[in-house]
Amino acid sequence: MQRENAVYIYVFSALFAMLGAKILYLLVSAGDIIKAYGNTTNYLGLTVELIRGGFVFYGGLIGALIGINVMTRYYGLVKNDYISILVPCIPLVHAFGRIGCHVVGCCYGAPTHSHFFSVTYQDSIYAPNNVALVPVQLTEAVIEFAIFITLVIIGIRIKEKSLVLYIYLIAYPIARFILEFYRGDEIRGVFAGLSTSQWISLILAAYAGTKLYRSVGKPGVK
Amino acid sequence: MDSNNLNNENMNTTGAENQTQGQGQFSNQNQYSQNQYGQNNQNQYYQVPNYPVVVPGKNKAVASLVLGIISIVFIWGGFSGFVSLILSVIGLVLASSAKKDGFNEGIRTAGFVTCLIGLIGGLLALLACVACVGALGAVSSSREFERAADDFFYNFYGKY
Repeated sequence: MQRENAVYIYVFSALFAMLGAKILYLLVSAGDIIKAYGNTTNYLGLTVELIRGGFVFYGGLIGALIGINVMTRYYGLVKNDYISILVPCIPLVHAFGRIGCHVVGCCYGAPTHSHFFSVTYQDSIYAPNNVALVPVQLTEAVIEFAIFITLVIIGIRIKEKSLVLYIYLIAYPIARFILEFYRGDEIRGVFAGLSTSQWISLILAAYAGTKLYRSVGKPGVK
Repeated sequence: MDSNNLNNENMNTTGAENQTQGQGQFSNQNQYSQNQYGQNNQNQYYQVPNYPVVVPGKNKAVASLVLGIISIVFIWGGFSGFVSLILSVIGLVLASSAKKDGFNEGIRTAGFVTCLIGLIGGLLALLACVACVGALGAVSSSREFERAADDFFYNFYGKY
């Protein structure tokens, strides 16, 4: 039953994640969407295209966490049992997604001068072609794999299982914040010098930081 | 008649398979109108009324299985992937609700799995760049393929 519970919670939190990612995309691109609806004559096609493509990861992360909370409460389970199992899945899935980003060319990096640490696309429909770009997708994939292994090891050793979530919510936003400076696609909105992902990274890291700080000294924490 | 009562009690405790047999012999409405009910009052033991044995959650599990199969069928039809998505989500919710009701047979797992397959197939049939799908994205996201797919759907559905 334990494994089946985890599977059900995982699938439903994945659905919540997709919903959250789509909602965040709509929120961030609201201005462009309204303009596009004003300019087009093909409303159905535009709606279909909006449903088909366009997700932001942080919406997915927040949606997945909300999903875990909702589904554990729906089944009457204890959340802390399942968080240490489900949270390491998030960076693993994200790492494979980033490899896909690298292959396709979306979420691309800024143009670079280095000849060694760069990637050049010839035939991508998302990235500018024949320009040497910083390979942020591969970098983020490697970092996510490292976070995954770290979370699994910590999840096995630590006694207070719910801290695994907060460790992830500090590690990934820090990495994302630093990498966002190397990103070349700024379609997701820029507020006051930092992009939306960076603001959300700051908020999440602050929240997780306060949680971790408050739990130091409680029984079971190293 | 005493043996009838004993049969009743036995049939109530042996599970759902006896439900159809029980309905054939003892229907609820007849029980209270038979003369034996009057005689039952004089027995030492209380006659358990033969309520129909409803297995909670079984209908939902079967419904989720049916919706899962239908959602798999609708994957390969162009924009019928949307139908596949919607039906598979409904099937997943039904399977989850059956699980919450306590139904733990294999039908629920089968419904869940078929709806999951329909969901993933529907997503692959429809969505582009779901957090940038893996190596498959390289093949299906090259410019010529996207253009050809868009042209195909455009012509197939009557130039929307």
